[in-house]
Amino acid sequence: MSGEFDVIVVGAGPAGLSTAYFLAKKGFSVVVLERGSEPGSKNVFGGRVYSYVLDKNMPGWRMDAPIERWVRREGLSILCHDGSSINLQYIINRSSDGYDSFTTFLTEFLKWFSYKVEEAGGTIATRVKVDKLIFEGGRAVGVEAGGEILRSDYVVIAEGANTLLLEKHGLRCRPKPEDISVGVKEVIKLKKETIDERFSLEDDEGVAYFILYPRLGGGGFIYTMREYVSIGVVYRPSFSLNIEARDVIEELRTHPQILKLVRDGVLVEYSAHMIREAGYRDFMEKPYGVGYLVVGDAAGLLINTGFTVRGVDIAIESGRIAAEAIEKAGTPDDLSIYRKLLEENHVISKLEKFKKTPNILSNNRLYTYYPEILCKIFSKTYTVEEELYTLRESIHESVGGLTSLIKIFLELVRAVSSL
Amino acid sequence: MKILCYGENSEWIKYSRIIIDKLGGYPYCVTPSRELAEESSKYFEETYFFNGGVYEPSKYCRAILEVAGRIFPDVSLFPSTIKGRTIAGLYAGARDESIITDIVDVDHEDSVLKLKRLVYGGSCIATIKSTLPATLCITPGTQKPPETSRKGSIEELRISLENRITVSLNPRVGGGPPLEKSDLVVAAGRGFKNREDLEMVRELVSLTVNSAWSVTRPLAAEYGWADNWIGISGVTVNPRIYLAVGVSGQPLHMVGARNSKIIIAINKDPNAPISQEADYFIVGDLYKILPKLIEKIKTTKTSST
Amino acid sequence: MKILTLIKLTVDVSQLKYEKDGSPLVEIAPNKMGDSDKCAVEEAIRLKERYGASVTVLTVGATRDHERIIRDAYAMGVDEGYIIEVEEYQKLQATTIGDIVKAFVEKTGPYDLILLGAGSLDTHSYTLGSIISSKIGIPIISSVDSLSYNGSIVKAESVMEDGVYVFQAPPPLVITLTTEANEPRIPTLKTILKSKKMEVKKLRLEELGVKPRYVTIEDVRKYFVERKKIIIDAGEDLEKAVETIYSILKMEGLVK
Repeated sequence: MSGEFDVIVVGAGPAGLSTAYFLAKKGFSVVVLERGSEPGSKNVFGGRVYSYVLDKNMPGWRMDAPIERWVRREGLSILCHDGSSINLQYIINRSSDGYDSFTTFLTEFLKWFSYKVEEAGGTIATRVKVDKLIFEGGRAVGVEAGGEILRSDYVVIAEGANTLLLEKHGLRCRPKPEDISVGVKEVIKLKKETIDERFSLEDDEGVAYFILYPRLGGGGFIYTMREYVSIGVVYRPSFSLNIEARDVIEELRTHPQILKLVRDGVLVEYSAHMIREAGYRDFMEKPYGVGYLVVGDAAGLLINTGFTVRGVDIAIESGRIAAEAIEKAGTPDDLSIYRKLLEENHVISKLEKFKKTPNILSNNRLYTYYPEILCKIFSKTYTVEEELYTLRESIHESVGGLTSLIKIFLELVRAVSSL
Repeated sequence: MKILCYGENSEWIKYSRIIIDKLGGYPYCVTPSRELAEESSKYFEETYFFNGGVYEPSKYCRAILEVAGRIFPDVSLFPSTIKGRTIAGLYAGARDESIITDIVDVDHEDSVLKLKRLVYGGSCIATIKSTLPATLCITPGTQKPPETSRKGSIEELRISLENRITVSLNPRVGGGPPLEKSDLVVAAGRGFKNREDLEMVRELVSLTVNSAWSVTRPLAAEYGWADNWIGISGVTVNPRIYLAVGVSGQPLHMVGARNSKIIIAINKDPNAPISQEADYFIVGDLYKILPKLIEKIKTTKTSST
Repeated sequence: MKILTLIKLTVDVSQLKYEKDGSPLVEIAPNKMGDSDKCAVEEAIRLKERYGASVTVLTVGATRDHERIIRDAYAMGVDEGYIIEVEEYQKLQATTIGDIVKAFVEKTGPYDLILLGAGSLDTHSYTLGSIISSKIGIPIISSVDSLSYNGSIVKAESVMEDGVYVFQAPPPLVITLTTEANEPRIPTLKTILKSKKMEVKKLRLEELGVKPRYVTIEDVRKYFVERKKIIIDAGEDLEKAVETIYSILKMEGLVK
């Protein structure tokens, strides 16, 4: 060991903590340096974690993890201009194994994860802003923070979507404006009984709804926590209406169908963050070099579905793989095994499938045109006016025929199924 | 119920009598000077005094404990000032009894006190129950009991004044009354564009009685335009009139001003949060209103003399 | 020299949110070391650097956040830290904290200086220092805005409503400090890492022989004062606006 630690991890998000946890478990001495005052304090997150990644690697995690609710109701909601909505729901039978994903507050979840890292023997230091990486002869040998240098055999960069360090060292370029999305989130406090009643839930059941809101040209989400409802929008300023983030979420919250769900709640948190447009297109071709690895969002390992950002499980997986790579490589000189392990991993290799997501995202049809058409069809069919429309007629009038409608549905379902 | 009050100053002596009447008890007072004892005897049945000299808490506390040792009070009252709290803490510690500070209202049911106190930097009120005996620090108010011709007894205490701590006081000179004791507080906020413009505020203060001025936190902490500010981390005031000029009314600021009897706000923005916390909300440009106000006071003054 | 500093885990009042009925959502507000407590730690470390001292820090509570603030103090340079474990630490009476400190000092002391913050924003009592002073029998200097020590005498200044008080005395002393006293240092990477390896010692009330007494809190609500909310548009009628302010000042007898 050339420094005080075998491994320095920059960033205490899910990827960084996961790397540190699995390394510490393998007996490496590891330190996580986090610039925020707490792990995850610089993170943006919808609120859902897929549990397979924890089931597989952290036995007993359910004993004390901060699980708010288990998602047993999945939904897609199209919010129409006139205040109506079209809803599609998949309700998971309670008696079946409905434990695929849970809702949580990321700060709570990461706090818990950081305790696990410490219990495994890792060190977490907060309020440490890493200013730069130290390279000697092309090899990463440590970091500099506040004028002090800390050396290690390996450096793992887990700085999240805002890749300042990587950019500083020319390892990644700044995202183009058109590759920037904005995520806006609000957390609203309600009584547990009120949430249960409004969403038809019992005990620890929760919902995850995706929302299409044509007027905003973006997608959004609703998650239920135990006593909170989290609502959010991911939109692209480059082709959305020219409105402020705060107004975007305000408009979502006050849509009659959403307002019904969050009425009388207390707004306890508001956050807006830039999100680097993700999907496979942004994946780093070479997320490693001599002495360093890049994990999680920083390496583009996340999925911006257009409705929400899915990254926690992928980040944890990439951290676990990074730990395995460091162990298997045995030397900081050649870490190419990391890329190989990532490709072999069935979750991360699936990121390939999302290659299309950004294209769908930039496709205004998905967010604006199709939902509007659907709203029109449903409104025509179910509104009794002097002139009576049959379903067939209203479809014909709105989109010119059944085949077109099926096409629209298929495209929507394809987009949504890639979430 | 026997109630012992530490009579720190004459205003508090009067106000404490209101509290004592609310609790319904037999009043005793200890004052740190003969002058205050004379004042106290108008309102208290029995007054004790000591020649305290310059304030030093353990010396003062010794005198109050001396009286407490004779009369066994159920409730002991102190003002919630820096000095009052410090002495009260020593006193409650020595007597090993509950101490509650920042009390804004008192009540009791039989021998249980029901108290309302400020918490969370003055942004909340907590209702607390306490058994007797108890030491209470009350946020001083301005109410006065009716004057009476009654005169209670006065007794001088002989206490040892020797101390390990030596104290000296550099009294505040000039500059009018401190913020905490002013009847009019003018607060300047971000509506002011330049430091020089605060001259208007100074002039207004010079034209009014028992008045002082301060600013909001950004003007003091960020721009360095003043030495103190009003708000949660600064000074809490309780004047008769609080004139907030160009102040938006953020909660952290308002905590320091809420005890004011009348709040007048001048602000350009009709939706500024302070509109909800003002008795008189003047929507308009401070650069037009303040000069007019100053002129009005000046001309009225010359015409009347 | 032996210095004891007392720190409290406080609610970050500036981030407090409220229920519709005005009850504060304390459980979701962030916690931190009290601002003036941090100044007390800073003052202790400055004395240590200048004159050589061992600095012990003590807090009362039972959460991970309590351990965190002890480590924050370690990162500033404190040598040794203790947590007195009490589940319902927020409801402890101030006099019980006094008993705890007294028992702790008997166990680990004596100390030349006991330093603590003048008051925390959440309960803001400003009385703990003098309670401790009384219980232990060491004199107090409270609400200190500026502190100096020449190796034998402590000189402390405190700004109060009637002027600046200057207190002078040799240790042992209990001193409470305001946030004016100093600008606490920001820990560096190395000191933070060192703080992580240090042990945080824990004691239970029974080990100190202290019987806790609790405050009975019935209700906590947002403080709201009903105001008249009379609106006058100066843009429409400047004269009327000025006249209104003037007449109120006049009515209260505040115009010279």
